[in-house]
Amino acid sequence: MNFKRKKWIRSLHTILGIIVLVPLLLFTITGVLLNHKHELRLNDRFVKSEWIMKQYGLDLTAPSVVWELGADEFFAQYSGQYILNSSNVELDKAPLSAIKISSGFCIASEDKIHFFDHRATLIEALETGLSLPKGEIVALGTDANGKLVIRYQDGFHIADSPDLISFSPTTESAVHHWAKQGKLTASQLKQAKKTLIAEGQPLERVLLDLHSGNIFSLAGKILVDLFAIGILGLSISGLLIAKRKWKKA
Amino acid sequence: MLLILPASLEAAKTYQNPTDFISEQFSGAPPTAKIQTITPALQSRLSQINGSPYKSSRVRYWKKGTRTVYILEDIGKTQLITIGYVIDGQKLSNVKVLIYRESHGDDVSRTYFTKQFKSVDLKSSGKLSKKPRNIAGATMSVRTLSRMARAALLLSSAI
Repeated sequence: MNFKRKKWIRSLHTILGIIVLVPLLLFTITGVLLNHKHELRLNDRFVKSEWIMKQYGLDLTAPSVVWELGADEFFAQYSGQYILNSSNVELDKAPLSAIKISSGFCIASEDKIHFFDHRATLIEALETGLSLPKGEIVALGTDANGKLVIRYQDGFHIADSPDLISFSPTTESAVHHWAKQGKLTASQLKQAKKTLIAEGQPLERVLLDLHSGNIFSLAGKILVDLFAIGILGLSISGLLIAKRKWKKA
Repeated sequence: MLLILPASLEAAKTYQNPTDFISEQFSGAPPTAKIQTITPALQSRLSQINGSPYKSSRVRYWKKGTRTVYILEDIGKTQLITIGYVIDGQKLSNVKVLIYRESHGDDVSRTYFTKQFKSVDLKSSGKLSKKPRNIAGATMSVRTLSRMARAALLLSSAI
């Protein structure tokens, strides 16, 4: 092996070593933690950081839809996450209407109404055809007493009582107030942002995405690929240097 | 060209409409639904046996004689599974997957799987008297059906 080539390999080995050091540290730490995810209960721990939430596609600047619930109360949708005043609520379908009734809040999709109490605790998920009259829900309203009125594709139904146990047919004239969309005030926006960040992401998820580079989307994945090639280069250059030393010995 | 849909856009599989399932269990003459409030004590017991409280503070049930029917739903891996549970006395007599929304794992809807729940009851430890055999590729759905079975039996015992 001539002198220039020896020097070149040695330089490459040094440069590669320096370049892969930081990603190697990250890879090692995340890998070891993930290897013990059950013992460390990584899925029960949450990372609450605005930056992390942004990497998961959460746009904290403004919600996609807001429904005004009156008296500084609101329901907001942020790309798959839902905020009811200062609580994160879980819905299994994108909502089409939200309204405050005398006994709490109702959030509707075309075949379900999630009924929450005033503290945003889920009372019941009512389904059309089972706990609600059959039909496709179009909008929500209330009568003069704050009782829920549901507008279906083919008619209207009103709750017989505030607890939404049963419903009776009615007409549009029963509706005193319709659910309406609006915008968040500055203080509501701040409150919503705080609630979203408080939800966090499971630590296991974050570590997995760091480990795979997924957290930085395509750029992250390419960097991890380059890191893998760098490690391979380091091993090969290391072997070539070692081979020379063995020969010398 | 192969069109691949995200799981959320694939149509849910409805094996039976919940209303039809209830009607069938009472020979076409179902009773009026009743409301069961899940008290803090019941939520605490549900947390103990299932690892988490039930998601809502009340459920509906249909009861006639010694037969009670619950329609419960919970997340499998990422989507809801709607399941019908029939309890006679204090034992499960029928379990049926009514609506399956996941993209994989719908083997749990097959009779060969759900019949394992027949005559199963809840032990004092909160475990089912017979654990269903797992299905590879449907572990999370199997767990959901088992979890809701425990919930249905516990709720039924508290009526």
